Amino acid sequence: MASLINIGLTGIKSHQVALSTTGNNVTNANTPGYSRQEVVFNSAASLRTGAGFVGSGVNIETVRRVNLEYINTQLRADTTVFNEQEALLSQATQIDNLLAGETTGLTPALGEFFRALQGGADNPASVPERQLLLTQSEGTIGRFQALYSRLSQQQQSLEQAIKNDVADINSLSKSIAELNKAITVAIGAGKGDLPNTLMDQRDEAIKKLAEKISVGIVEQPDRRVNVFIGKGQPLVVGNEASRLITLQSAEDATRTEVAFVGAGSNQVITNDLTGGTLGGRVVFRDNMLRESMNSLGRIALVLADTVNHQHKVGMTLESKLGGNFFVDINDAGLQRARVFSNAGNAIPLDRVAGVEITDPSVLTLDDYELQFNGPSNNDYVVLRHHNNEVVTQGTLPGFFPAKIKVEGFDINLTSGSFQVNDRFFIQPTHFGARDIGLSVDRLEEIAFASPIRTLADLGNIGNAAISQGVMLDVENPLTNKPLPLYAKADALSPPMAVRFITDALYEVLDVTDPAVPKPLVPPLNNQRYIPGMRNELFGTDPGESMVSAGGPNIATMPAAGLGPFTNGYGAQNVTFLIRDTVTGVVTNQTVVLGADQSAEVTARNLSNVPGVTANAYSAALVRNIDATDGLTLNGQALLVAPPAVVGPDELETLINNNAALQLQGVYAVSDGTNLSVKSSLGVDLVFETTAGSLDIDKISPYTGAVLATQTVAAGTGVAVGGFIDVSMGNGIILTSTVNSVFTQAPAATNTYRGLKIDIVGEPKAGDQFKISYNTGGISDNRNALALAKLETKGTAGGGVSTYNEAYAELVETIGTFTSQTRMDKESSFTLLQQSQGAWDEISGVNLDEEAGRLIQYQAAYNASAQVVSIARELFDALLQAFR
Amino acid sequence: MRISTSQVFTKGIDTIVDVNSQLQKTQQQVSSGKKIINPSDDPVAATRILELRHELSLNKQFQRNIELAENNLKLEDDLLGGVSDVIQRIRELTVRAGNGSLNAEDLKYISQEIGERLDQLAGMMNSRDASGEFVFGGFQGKNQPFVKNASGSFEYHGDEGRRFVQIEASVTIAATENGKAIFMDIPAAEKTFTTRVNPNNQAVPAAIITTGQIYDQTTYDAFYPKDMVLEFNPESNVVPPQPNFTVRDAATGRVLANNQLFSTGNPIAVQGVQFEIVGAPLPGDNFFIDSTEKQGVLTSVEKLIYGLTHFNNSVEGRKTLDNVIATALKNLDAAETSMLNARSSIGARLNTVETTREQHLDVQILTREIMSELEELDYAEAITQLSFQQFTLQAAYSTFSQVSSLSLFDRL
Repeated sequence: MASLINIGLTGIKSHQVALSTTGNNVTNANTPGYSRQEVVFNSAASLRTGAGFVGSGVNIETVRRVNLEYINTQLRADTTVFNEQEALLSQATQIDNLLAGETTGLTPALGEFFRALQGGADNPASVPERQLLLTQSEGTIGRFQALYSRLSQQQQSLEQAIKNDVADINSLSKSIAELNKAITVAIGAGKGDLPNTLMDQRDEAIKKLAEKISVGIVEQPDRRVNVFIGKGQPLVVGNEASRLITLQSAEDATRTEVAFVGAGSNQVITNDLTGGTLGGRVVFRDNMLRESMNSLGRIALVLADTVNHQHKVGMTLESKLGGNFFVDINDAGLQRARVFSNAGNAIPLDRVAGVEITDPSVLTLDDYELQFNGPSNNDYVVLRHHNNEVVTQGTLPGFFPAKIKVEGFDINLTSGSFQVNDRFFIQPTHFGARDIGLSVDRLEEIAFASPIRTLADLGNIGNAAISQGVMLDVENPLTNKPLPLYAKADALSPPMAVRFITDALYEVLDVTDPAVPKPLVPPLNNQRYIPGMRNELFGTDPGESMVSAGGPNIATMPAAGLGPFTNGYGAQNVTFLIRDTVTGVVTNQTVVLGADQSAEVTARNLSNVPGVTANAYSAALVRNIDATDGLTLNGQALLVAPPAVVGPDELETLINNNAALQLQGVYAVSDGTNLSVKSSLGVDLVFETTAGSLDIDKISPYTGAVLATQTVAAGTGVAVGGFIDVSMGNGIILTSTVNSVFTQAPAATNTYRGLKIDIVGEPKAGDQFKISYNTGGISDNRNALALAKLETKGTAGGGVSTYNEAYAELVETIGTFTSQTRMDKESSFTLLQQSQGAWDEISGVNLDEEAGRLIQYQAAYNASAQVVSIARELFDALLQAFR
Repeated sequence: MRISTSQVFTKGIDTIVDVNSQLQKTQQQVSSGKKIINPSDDPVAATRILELRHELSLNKQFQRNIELAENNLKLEDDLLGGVSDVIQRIRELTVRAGNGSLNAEDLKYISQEIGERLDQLAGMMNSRDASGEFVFGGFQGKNQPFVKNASGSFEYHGDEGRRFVQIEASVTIAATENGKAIFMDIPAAEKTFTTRVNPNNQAVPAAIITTGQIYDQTTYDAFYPKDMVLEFNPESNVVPPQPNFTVRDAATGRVLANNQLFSTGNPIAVQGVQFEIVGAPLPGDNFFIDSTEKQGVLTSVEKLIYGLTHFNNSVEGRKTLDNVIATALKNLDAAETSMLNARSSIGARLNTVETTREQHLDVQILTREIMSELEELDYAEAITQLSFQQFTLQAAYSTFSQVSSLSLFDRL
């Protein structure tokens, strides 16, 4: 009986607990992270009796929470992914909406800018069109800057969000450590029973942490958990929590870095962070956002640079050269703003460096880092910032200014103690959109015209036509120095004229004084004209230079005497140093000039060197022609048919009609007193006479001065050697060991004139074309047209994309990224829902179920009470029996 | 399968939220009429739309350029037509002057009318366009192209500039003509010359050189095509010292007339050419006499007037007059031909411009079609979707309220 009471009581007690547990489940139905609990009933030990084993009631073994660790793990992983994707998406959507908008995107503004330029091309002198262009330019600049500031605001809010994430992580890791401690204490106190609520709370805290960042969980035998983040950084170990902090980036003060506070030092772990809102934000900031800003900046740089270049070669309404339209992208201040000295660089912070954009079309979207890793202070390496790929490395020359050539830009080191362990963060494109600005401020300063004017002489007989001319540069693109042709404001220095000496030979002259045309410096004498072709007057190689043979031999002429007749030019070895413009490797090639070799042969030999073109021609003036009939020129007897007597006019006719001399390029011009004899091929001119005498002058083709004079008396002769102009491609230098035909180290003059003019058709001897400054050419729209055409030209992306295409690429990249992220977010949301569902299935509270249990336990409770009451009745009956 | 109560609610709410956001998107599409609201909706199409929009704006610009070119060309065509008419009238007058029965007095009246026509001609050639720039001045839009010089004859002060406008991405077309090509580069009946002053001359005021004329065509033809330079020498070159000049062949330096005494306004004759220098040139000053086969239409008329007004009624004079008139007729015909050539070239360009415009219109329609395909919403589909989504939402509402109202506790 006592046992029956006891049995009944165990039932009452146990079901009381079961009812409480169910009640607790019901009340916690909406508590986040709450796992439903269930009571584990156990039948009490049986007692051995004679009749066998008799049960002694029920025991509650434990109240356990229904929870599966692998589902928790899955739920955490899915939470991390979903939160990362959501953070990415919310950031990406902001840019996505910004870039392609009618009112916020760049395309409409750029379109308006070019429409205004077209308007200028249509009506170059019109004040309203010019005003409109100024307004639209400001609009375009404003759009660039607005986009930049939106993106930069987004970065700032990201930085703030990163800081908040880190604060949340710190407080969560602290509470996990505290819960760890509480759990061990509770387990000890409960003698092995688990503290369900504390465990739920800890799981929930870990899940919250997983929303912020991807975590690794290791459960210890004593039920404490260790939490790891990044590349194994221990955030929580047992009862101890470590701390994360945010730092200003040493390389780029605008960026926030996340650091792990370790023993004695802070370890920057920004790049190791993955998953969660923090991982998503860091990834977005360092990739998509950076690329968007750089991409936008690059478009701004390309636009400013290409428009500036074209504008510079134009002419303003006030007949001046155009200058910059936008602010120079290589303004000294802007150059320096692209380089950040690392905060860890040794003091004094005296290093001055800048980034000069040399070719915006090949700029990448990357940021770079310049590092000095030793062993010497001059050893540098340039890395791509996001993946540490080596872009270029080398050794500085050890003096300033030093230049490091990278992809589309140069790093210019101006001064300071660059030393081992120095680091510099390089952002060539990042600020492009912020820094674009307008340089012209008056509408007269807009250069719609071209500064050159070409004119065919009204008296030309041939049908040749000269092109209007295209301006390429006003500065030499290799050296950035102004070209001398445009040194003077409002005029060409010098104005030029093209004069045809014969139908197939022309020269370009300096006509500063139209009455006294002079050879140009460097000369363009004795140029061959090919009918039926476009004959370019000027070279287009900015590195081309010219050396004229100017050694002591050139100014001399051997004394007249008996044959054989030699020009007296000494033997000489001419060496060309040829520097490969790509690799910088220098090779050399030597040409041997024989003694007395004619200029024609020398020029031919020199021209065999790749990149070298030599032009030879000779000239002599024949004076005081003493009536004589014994004259020969290059072995050709010049016999005058009587009754005419020998005179310059007769000799002119004889020479010009002599077929053998024509083959040697020899022609003569008489002025009635003297005879000028020339060879367009540069053969020696050998004058001999058997009777009478004549004077021969060697005339400089550059200055017209008499270099030497000889009198040729009867029975003697003299040879006049020719002149040589050697033009050499970029990187070629001419040297020699002796001074004879060429001097040892002749100064080469750059021949680049930044001008492209051609003549086509069939000119006649005497035809002239003039090239002068386009003063007053206000109705000229050539430059406006060239500016407008930039819109459809491959200016960006290695010279294949237009501005709009480059921008469309950005829009597409962002759009694709956003749509990809949206899909990723949706799929990760589905996964999260699934794992949350799985968790709910196992651990969630079902109120109907609990209601059922309530009824079930209540019934069992009632029944147990009945057992007690039966036991009492039995006891009473027994007592009654003994009464 | 076990289901927790919170799942019942969460699932119901999630479904409603999801359908709601779809409905919102469709509603946005319907109200804007566009399929693509953000580039991420269809990145490729969105980029394509950007490009097409740009293409359309370029297309519109080209049409605007075409209109401008057309206006310019039409204006030039009209002006050239007017010039042609005046030349025609001068030609009639010239033919009339050739009537042998006219006396000096009659010729004077004719020459007076021709003189008025000359001014009319010059006026037309100095026309301005709507924005006040000279039509035939090349790039020198603010400088009058045909200007009477000090000696009373017209000179061209423009340049050879021609303005091109872009009518297609790779095609530019000349929208203007310069006066030199049309009115100056006209083949002359006889070889002739032009005179000009070296701008670097030192004399103040600068001495001028007259247009001059050829008095001996045979001599000049033999000398042609050489140019001459007249240079003033130091006064000490002659005894007693006084202003004197030398004429040389410009190319060879051959002396054609040495140390000639100078007196202002006196005719200077050399190689069949006669002209005057007026003023007080300093030693070193140059004047150029350039040979040419071309003669401006204004010069031709000037020479005709000179011939008519200097008519000398003798057998010799009659012969000269016949010569003058024959030459003038040839020159006027050449001028007429030049106008015709210019007008036919303008006409050809007007045709090009017209066909290009049509092409642009075609492209524009096509581009719009592609754009609308990419961008515009299929309303039938969208509205169907919208009502379907509404239906789903309503269903979600009612199932949610029904499912969530079930509870065993109600039965306790």
